[in-house]
Amino acid sequence: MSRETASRDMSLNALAVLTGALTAAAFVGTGLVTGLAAGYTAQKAQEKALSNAAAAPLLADIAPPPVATPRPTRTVVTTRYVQGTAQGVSRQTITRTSGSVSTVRSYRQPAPAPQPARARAVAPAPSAAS
Amino acid sequence: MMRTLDARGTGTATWRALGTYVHLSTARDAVLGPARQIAIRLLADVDRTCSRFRNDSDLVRANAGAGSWTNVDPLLVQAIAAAMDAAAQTDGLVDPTLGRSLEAVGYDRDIALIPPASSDPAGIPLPARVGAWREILLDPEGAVRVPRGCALDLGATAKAWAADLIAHSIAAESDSTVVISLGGDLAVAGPDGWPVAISESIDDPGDSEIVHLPYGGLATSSTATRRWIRGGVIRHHLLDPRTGEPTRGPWRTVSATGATCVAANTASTASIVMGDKAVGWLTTRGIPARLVDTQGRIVRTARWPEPAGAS
Repeated sequence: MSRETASRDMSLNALAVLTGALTAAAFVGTGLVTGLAAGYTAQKAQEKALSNAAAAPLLADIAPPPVATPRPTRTVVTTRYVQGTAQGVSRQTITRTSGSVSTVRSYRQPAPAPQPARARAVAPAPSAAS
Repeated sequence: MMRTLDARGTGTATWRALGTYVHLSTARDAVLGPARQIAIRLLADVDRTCSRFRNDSDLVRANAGAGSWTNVDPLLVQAIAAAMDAAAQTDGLVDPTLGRSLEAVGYDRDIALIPPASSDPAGIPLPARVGAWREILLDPEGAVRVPRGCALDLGATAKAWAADLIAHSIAAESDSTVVISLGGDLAVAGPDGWPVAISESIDDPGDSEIVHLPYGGLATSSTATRRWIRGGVIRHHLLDPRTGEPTRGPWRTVSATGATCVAANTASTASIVMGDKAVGWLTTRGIPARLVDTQGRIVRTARWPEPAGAS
């Protein structure tokens, strides 16, 4: 083995040792920082939880308590209205004192397709914003 | 009140109510008189119960009692139910809890009483509380509980709901086709449809496009009307509930149809609020609509016919 070869091998070995040492140091450093950060986060979370727990009774004191308001009774009104629905759907007669009326059903019916204007049989009704 | 009779025997009456124009037509003129009486009575009931500008209305009392149950006319309960349905269909874009937001930008009285331009402060927009409309409680027997801190405004849907109510109430009393338009919210009931002239302004129908509506409702919503200036800032009545500000999207006017006028109005109002996404939203739902952008260009969704003479 020539002197140059022995020297090169020594250099390579030294480099490998140095690289290994740096890698190990990096692992240790990263772990250390991560651990510290996790510890800090956990500490903050614990402080926040304690703070919230301490504040909860205070907030409960400040916020107005929910008031149970009973549903009122009402004198019967007998006027009747008829609320229609889309063509092809049975009309629903409602009274001003009967059950709730929902228009949800009308959204399930297809919207009518307007047709091209026919010959001017009757005067058109306006749909203009005002 | 104006009453006309055309050569084919149809009758038409026009007058003002709910702060806007009323146009009522019946296929048989003999029906017009009784029909008009039904319409006048129902419009008076709707105004007495649903107005945000009458101190004696049920809605004003319910808003004043927000957080508690208030006895109201069941008619208001039904109008609010329709508004809540509209909110549900649009994920809250058509929001009935915008009363305070409208007041914040100056819509605090009948539109006829708002100065077209004033030096008063423009007001700070107040967004609606997200999902507050879901907290509205209704008793169909005649009571409502407005969420605490909220005020209801039914301006978006009440006219459309009233148009449905009136059209079908009249049709139930006769075999005549009837059409009623309340400020652009139009409902047809009866055996036949009716031609409808669509325009951006009732005062200037020169640009109108006429289509035949076979049944149901057709509504036109526009930012070109109900406008005012406060503190140098232009305001209008169609608010985006997410910001509390008048909408500033690409659409100036939208007309849409629906199985009812409420459904049509929900679609037209929501389209203006959602802006860029409106065409896709309408198309997905199969809703025929005609949209006019801020430059006056017209877009029609599927099933809305091209105007006569267009290639």
